[in-house]
Amino acid sequence: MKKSIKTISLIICLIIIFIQLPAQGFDINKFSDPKKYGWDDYNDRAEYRKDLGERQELLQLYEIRTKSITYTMAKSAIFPGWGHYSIGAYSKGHTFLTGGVVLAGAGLYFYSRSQDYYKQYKNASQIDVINSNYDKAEQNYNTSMIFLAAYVILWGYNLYDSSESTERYNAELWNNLMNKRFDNVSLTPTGIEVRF
Amino acid sequence: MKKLIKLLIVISSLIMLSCGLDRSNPLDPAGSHINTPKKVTGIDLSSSGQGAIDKFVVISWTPLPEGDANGYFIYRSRSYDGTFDLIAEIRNREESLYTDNYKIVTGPYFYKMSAFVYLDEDNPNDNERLEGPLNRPGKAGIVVPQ
Repeated sequence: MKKSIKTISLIICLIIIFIQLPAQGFDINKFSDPKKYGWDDYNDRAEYRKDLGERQELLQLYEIRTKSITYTMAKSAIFPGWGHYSIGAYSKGHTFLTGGVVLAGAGLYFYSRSQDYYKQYKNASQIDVINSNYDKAEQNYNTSMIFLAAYVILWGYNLYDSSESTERYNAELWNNLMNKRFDNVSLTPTGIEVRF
Repeated sequence: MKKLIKLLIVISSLIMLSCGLDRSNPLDPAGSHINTPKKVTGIDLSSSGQGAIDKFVVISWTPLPEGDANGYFIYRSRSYDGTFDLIAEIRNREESLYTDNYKIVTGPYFYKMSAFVYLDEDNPNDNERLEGPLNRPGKAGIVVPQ
């Protein structure tokens, strides 16, 4: 019984394989073509290998210098602007950091004031003092919420922008590496440099 | 991007609206059942006459109706806008007169009055009473003669 099942499954597999083979369209001429990679002689092959080696080196360089989006976003989540600093976007980093410090600072300052007035409100027993302290506490609390909401918006935008900037940074990094590779003649402070 | 910013604004606004300061003071009429005491009216001042050895100032007022107050506070200052010190607590709502003879010397005296109500009228507690708005007498103050 077991033997017959094995035989049947083997037959089914063979049928499937034979059906699939012509479908792939195996081209024996293409397979045996010695110029399929565009190499006319040994020098072409050597040049191609050299080119491949250089590209692999570039890729290694790129992998070393590239920045992970998650990493920069995590940094920006901790301190707005920190992620931007790590990819060299100092102007944006300064803007986000300063904005974050100012908004969070103002928010906390007004929140602290509101809590002071709220404590006085809770301890008051005279109607005018109760109303006055509650109004001041509420006013400062609302102001603090406006600043903290603005901080949340800035923080969110900072996260978004750190992701976008990192993508741009990585793309520019690759382009720069490629440009440097093909740019053998460059103008340096000491004169013209030609690399072979 | 715009959607993200809009979402953040909506979330922040919701947080702002959902949070707020509670009127948690038990003496706050906006947050509890306590009635605000009414303003004390009809306040009048008179002083001891010329040449009196024991000088005094008499403060009189119109007693507030039942339910509007449980008693009164009297404050005194030596100047119109100076610091007013509490000089008397009158725990009888029907009282309408108080004689101030504490360290009275020749010169001007200014007074303010307010009424108070207990949070729990059945169990009066001095730490749980709400003081109403302060009011001045009809005339700004009184000068105690020599």
